[in-house]
Amino acid sequence: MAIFNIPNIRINGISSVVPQKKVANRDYDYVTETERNFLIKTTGIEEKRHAEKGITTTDLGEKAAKILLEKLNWEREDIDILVLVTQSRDYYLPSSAIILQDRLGLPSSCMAFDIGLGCSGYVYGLSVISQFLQNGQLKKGLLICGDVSTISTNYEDKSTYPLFGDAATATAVSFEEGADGIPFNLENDGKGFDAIIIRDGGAKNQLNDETTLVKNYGPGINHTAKDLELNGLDVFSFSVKEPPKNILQLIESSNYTKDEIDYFIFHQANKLIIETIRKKLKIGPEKVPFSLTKYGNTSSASIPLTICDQLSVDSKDKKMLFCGFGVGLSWGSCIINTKDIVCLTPIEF
Amino acid sequence: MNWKDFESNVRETLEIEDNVIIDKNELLEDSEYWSSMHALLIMALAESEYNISITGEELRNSKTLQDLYNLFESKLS
Repeated sequence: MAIFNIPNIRINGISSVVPQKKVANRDYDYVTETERNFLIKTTGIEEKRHAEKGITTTDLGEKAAKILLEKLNWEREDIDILVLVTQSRDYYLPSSAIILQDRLGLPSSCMAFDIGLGCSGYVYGLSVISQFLQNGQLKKGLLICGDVSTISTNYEDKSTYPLFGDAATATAVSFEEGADGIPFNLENDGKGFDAIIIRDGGAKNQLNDETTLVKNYGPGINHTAKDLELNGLDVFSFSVKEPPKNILQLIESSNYTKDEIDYFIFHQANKLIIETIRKKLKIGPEKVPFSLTKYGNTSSASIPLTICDQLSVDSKDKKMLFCGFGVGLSWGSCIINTKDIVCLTPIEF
Repeated sequence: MNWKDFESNVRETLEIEDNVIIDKNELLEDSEYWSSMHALLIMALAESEYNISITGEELRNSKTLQDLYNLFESKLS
């Protein structure tokens, strides 16, 4: 079981950046008005942000990192590690994190690499960067999380297009001797690898003449093999089953109680999933903030974006449980003590 | 679990008006109250009201409301 505790870590601050362009689901005319209203009511997603063509996670993440560094008065040369969690990197290779290292003016001594995870990525990314920082040999790190998922959603696919939005976030993490440990519980299940998938463009199915053909996969579900494909029933079934178990394991193993947790920040998949998890865990709604109403499902950015959007004025000295779950299938949770964290309200790109 | 309670929960979950008569043997795919979103609501009902988990495969194999009732009942027994 991947349950472990990482000591000596402080989360110093979080920032988030979303594209300026708003796309409202009430204008999604690919489905009927009745279906549209039902979709908005069930998913809770009223609008989301779409990046303009050519704007990438790297661009959004660069801006998020710059405003955070400025707010924290962190010097570039003090950053020892940069981790970028994304599934929409700029190029097939190299890693976008290395491009970001240069664009942010970070020294070449700052190690930088990508992690290819989606909705569970914030929790996984925190665990990775914290592992590097926990013994004090590296002192300061930046975790950038986000995706421009909308480049992979087909307008004629009602199972994906209304759900996803674009965003990137930056989280400043540092070594602090004696700081509370962060307990993690990380899991995955490759049997569900094709529940959320982009089939073509990787090494297994390279781009070919068929890749860009739009095919029908059911009522209202048309997409190509380079578009995001989502099996809603299987994803829902997984999402309401595994994350609650993972959370209860984490709470029990780390000697917390549910009452001690001030906020449960769930990946913003959709309202029905989060509400079902919340009810299963018997948590009050006041402890479960939402940002999906305005931003949709923003992949690995959704947890930090929710904190920035909903808790920026009530984020200090709180115990927060983060739980990410999705593509992989991959899921995980952790509990942090926010102390004097700086959370900046989302800004536009 | 009995049929009356199940029907009541389904009616509330899928927002089926009181004056609509539910035919438990009607094919779900023929019902105006059934879509992929409604299927998710049934999954949520199973988790939050009955504390049972239904897989996507099990739901896809349920063709009528009677099938769903049988599925719920088998999970609870």
